[in-house]
Amino acid sequence: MEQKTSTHKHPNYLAVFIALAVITALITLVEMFAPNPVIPKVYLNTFYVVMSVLKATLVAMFYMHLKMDSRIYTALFLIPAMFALVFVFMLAI
Amino acid sequence: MSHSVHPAPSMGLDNRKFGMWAFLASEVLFFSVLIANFLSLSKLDPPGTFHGVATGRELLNIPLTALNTFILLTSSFTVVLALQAIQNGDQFKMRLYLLVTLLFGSTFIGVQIYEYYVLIFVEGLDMSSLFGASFFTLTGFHGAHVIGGLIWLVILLFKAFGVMGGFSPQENLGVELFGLYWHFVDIVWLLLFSLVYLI
Repeated sequence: MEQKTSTHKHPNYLAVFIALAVITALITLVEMFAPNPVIPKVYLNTFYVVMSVLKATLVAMFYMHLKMDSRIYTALFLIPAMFALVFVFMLAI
Repeated sequence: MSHSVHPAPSMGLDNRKFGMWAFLASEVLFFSVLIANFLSLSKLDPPGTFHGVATGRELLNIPLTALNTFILLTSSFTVVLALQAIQNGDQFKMRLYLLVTLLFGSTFIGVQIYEYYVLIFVEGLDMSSLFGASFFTLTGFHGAHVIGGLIWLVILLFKAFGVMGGFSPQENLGVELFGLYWHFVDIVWLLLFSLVYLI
């Protein structure tokens, strides 16, 4: 029994790609040209992490179709991600 | 796919797709261990471990890695375009985009091999240092996942070109499952770029 897994309604993949590319360029430029002594490193690091999580969210929502697909997949992906976050904080911070 | 048996889904979900998401969930935990390992160990090397720089991170080539990140991002984009193409019944575009994905994925691995070569043989990064060991373990496992994806993609291309069946607007789950894996590998790299190279 075959099952269609997509409604064939596609988001604007090009817009998502442009957003991802712009964010990548932005954090690279900030890292290369930001005046480190003026902007404390902790602020820069927070900026990098927030931007990375934003990019990962865009990919998961639109490229992996979590925004349109069953919420069960979202839960299956997010629950271990939450555990992973706690795990990383416990060991690394 | 016509000769295989797929049990009826019990939650209204395709079992194969559910299985892929469960696999990706396990991969989240796998990479979280490696990331925690890197973050906790990479800054503990004693002074003087690295030649001429204070930390191993200063040896990393940020512009080159940013370019490589863009290459992997672009390969993710071409995968969704391939899926969109086959769902619209366009076999030519699906094959084209999958081939472009193969090209970009191979380029990513090529750049990573070059980066490793420079770090080890030009910069003299000690692989047995805490930074070196945790860096190569983390990025190496990610690279291995990309290589695994490329092997999968080659098999997918055989099918896309009709060697082992083919895809259609009705049956294209193979492309979608590969896309899920490839996007996940992309997500991991987006996080690594910040956590390993920038922080």
